[in-house]
Amino acid sequence: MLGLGSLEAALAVWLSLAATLLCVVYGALNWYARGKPDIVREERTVVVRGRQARTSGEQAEETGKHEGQGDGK
Amino acid sequence: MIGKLIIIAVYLCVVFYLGYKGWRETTRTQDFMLAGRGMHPFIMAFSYGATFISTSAIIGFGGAAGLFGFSLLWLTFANIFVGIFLAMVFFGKRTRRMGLALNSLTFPELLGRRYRSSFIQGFSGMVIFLFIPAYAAAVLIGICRMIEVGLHLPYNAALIGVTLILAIYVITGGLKAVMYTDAFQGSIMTFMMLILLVTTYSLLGGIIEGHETLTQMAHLMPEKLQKGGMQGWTQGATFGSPLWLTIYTTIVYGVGVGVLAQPQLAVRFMTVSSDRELNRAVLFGGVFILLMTGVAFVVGALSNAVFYQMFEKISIAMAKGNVDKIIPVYVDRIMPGWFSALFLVAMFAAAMSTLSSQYHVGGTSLGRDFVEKALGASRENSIAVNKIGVVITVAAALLWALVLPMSVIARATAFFFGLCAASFLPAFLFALYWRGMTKAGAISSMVGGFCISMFWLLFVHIKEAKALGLCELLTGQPTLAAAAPQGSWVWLLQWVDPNVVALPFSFLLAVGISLASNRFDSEHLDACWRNF
Repeated sequence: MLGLGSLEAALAVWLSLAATLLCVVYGALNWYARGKPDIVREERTVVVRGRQARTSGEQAEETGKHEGQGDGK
Repeated sequence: MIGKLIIIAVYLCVVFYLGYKGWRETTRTQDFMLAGRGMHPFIMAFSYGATFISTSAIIGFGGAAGLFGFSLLWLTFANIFVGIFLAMVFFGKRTRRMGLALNSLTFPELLGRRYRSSFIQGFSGMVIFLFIPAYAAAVLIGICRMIEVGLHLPYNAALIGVTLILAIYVITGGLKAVMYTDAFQGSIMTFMMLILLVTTYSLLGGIIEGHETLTQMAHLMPEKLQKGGMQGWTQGATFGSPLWLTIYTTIVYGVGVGVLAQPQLAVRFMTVSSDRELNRAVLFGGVFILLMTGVAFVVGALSNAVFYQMFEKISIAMAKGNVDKIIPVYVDRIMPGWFSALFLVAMFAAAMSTLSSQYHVGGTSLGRDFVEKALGASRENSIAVNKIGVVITVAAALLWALVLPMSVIARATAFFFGLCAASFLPAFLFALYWRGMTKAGAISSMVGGFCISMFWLLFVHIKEAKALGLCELLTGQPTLAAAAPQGSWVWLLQWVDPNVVALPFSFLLAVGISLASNRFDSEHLDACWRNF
């Protein structure tokens, strides 16, 4: 009971510590796990003479465009 | 005093440097709104944690722990398990993936595009913009009370000074500046809370000894709190009593669950580039939250034992009846002078990290989601429109801070968390997990949850209903349940948080209306699910 006056209080302390441990273990076990690659990637924009222009009207596909490679330059 | 000023000056220099760095790196709308979607997991986790945990948690809820004791540790458990683990693993990953698939830059935009509804985006944006200033004001009040006690500056001068400092870097640097400064501020907070914990237990002779001392002080619990159901700081409250209902329905449930639908937190899931960053953030975030709310609540409760040993007074008496002053007074009277200066900086950091995010999300909700989407304004000058939105949010928060009463920090935080949960949680959860959720289901859940929450607040929940006075004006009673026999379940409803009623109602509407209305075509759903 950790010197606390009720099970209600002691349980709150133990569960807080257990939840933290869960987070640490989960994070450590999945440290390198990227998950399934994104099919759709960010719509990129490039800055041309202080103005923004899209690289593509649609979002770039996985194998597609990166910043500065699109058709909006 | 000179030492305190030097430390604060150094701290502000670093903050302004990071704000400048954020401004330099902000060239695109995506940078201003989502920090370029490429944040480091440590920065993301500490930014998430420092936004989540502010002076509200440390000063407001820490002060509440000075009244209610260790029962508040249930909120720490909820903060870690729900606010970090469930939020990042089950909400964060899908939010990031769907946000990318739908090219959404804000939380309302994600909901609006998922449900193909300008109304949803505009309504969400307005709810956030209208109510986040009240939450921001509560945070602002917390840090300004600290400054008032620690630096002996006039309260109103502190309000204006802090607001100006924050406004400069949020308006110029956007989310990059906010997240860089958050991570720095979170690091300071971690270090200070560790010192606070170790010192407090040392003063009481150890962990078990400290707890036992507090356990033996149960008879010193103020009479008013005993009548409300409190048995002691480590004994908890009597089941079903008004204070038990306040602790568990408003503080633990309202804030603990409400975190899942916080727009300023959800948007951070979209600032990283893959699941790997979120996995790592779970580790950092779990430890960070334990060191923040866990320490604040333990120290808040134990402050009664320390104060009693030194001054023969309990915490609320030392703070002259103001819950929000328990932690500031504890640091000022109990902790060494050098710590007082550093802790002030840590609290400054805690407040600024949360405030900057609140200003940012309030501003983008007004600019991006309401003006641009709902009103159909041009996106030619998107960054400028969002900056104006931030300016208006900052001004609204300052006005709220000038008019809100004392001891309001914890309550205002719980109010915003609860309102967000009732309005957004079902629509957000089902947006990520249920292809059968319809536009009509989402709209009715959001509007219904919001309306029930506001009704309960204005007509049933005694704290707000009595203060606002609308129920009294219309019915002659402070609440609709006030006339019920004392001790009956109807009478006890006055201490039940709005969220206890509004959230289940919102879920029922979401499911019921979705089952009875037309589903989205599979082409749209496939587009939403592309990245899963």
